[in-house]
Amino acid sequence: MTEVYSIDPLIIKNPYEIVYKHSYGKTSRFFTSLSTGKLMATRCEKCNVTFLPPRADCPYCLSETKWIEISGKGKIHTVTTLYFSGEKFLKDLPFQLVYVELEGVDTLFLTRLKTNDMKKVKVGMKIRMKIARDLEWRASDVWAEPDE
Amino acid sequence: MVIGFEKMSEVSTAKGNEFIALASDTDWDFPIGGFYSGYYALMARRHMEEFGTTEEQMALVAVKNRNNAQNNKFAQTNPKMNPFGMRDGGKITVDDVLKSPYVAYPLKRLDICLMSDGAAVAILASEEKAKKITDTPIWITGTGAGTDAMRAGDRPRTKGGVPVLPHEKKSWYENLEYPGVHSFRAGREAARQAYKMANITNPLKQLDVVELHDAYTSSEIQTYEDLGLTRYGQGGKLIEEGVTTMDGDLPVNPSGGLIGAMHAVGATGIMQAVEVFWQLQGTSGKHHGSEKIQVKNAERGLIHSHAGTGTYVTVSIMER
Repeated sequence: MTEVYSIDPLIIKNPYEIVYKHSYGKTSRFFTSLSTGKLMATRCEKCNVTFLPPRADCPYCLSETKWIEISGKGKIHTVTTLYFSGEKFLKDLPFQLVYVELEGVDTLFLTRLKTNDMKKVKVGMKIRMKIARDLEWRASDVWAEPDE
Repeated sequence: MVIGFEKMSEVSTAKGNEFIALASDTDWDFPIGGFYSGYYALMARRHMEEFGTTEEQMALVAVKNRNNAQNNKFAQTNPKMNPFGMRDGGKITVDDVLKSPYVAYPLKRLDICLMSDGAAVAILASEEKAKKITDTPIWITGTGAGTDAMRAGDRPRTKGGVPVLPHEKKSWYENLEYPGVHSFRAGREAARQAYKMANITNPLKQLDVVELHDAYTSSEIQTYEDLGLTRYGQGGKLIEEGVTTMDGDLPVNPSGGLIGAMHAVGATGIMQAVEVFWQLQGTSGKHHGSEKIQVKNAERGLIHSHAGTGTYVTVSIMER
């Protein structure tokens, strides 16, 4: 039976679900490398810039980048604790998001921070990237943990 | 005729936020639980770290915009004048803001824009036609648009990388890593172009009224700096000194903006144009039913619209 919110005007409940085929295109290797425990970024040799999230082509000179392995060590550039989110992630609240400065990487990488003590977290804190054992082929397969 | 509209009440706040977040990066940022209040919170936190901006300064922006909205009869937070207004609207204090629940530290519920149903319409015409339609046309004397990397983290952090405006000195920013995630390079570029076209060399002095995209109290402070109303790093001080209040030198968001009036996403930019149009015509009081909203003798105004996390920003100058 259709759920009705109001008669005049007539307002009904109307659920709608979509299934996407989501392609990672030329950045696929980041995800497939995780199964061998490697964290990969891309580098433009001409501009001396390393990108994570990876970019197949350099946004500055448009030449093709090459894949390199990174250490996954770094520090927190900025941090927030979320108490609200999009519907999909409400079940995870509260959780922390950080932009991290990773060794050998020039861009900032957005990831979750997992810690038992959210109060201790601050800008400049040392972190290390972790890789999930059971991969879901999503950005949530990697996250940061405090390393101090 | 330019029409903008949006109807956001059909879904819950969490679902609405999810839809909007799906317009951010869906490979890297959304799947970890990212959404706009989170992205702006990260930027705000870095602004605090870099420049010493405080939650109290952000709260002052919320108070200004929410209380300005109490003179705007279309505002969502104004139940006295707007029969469709939210019941828990009305005036607020700094204390109310600081005590409102955190959504994404350091941003609290009252630091964040509304979700709205709304529409706005503007008519653009040639000089010749405009004079036939109205005795008080308003001229668009400058426009600018800037873009940046979609993900804020991809933007460079270049020492001394600030594109300076005519009234600024390169030496002010020698040690500032720019834009990073604390500033909006696209907003600065949009302002630079619009000021050049409209011959504005000192925006704080030459502008009389501004309607800017205050999606968050923090982004209003960041935008003061991008627009050159004050130096980078001094945005928090500008609101503290009351410069952008109705009684200040340059009232910003007399309508209440996105925090006080509405943010029906597709309508917001046009709403700002309408508000500044009325300000410059001197008809704001008539349209809103309260003279308190009118900036006295406003001759030149600025509107500023902002997309994504500062991915695409536009600035337009309007004159009487």
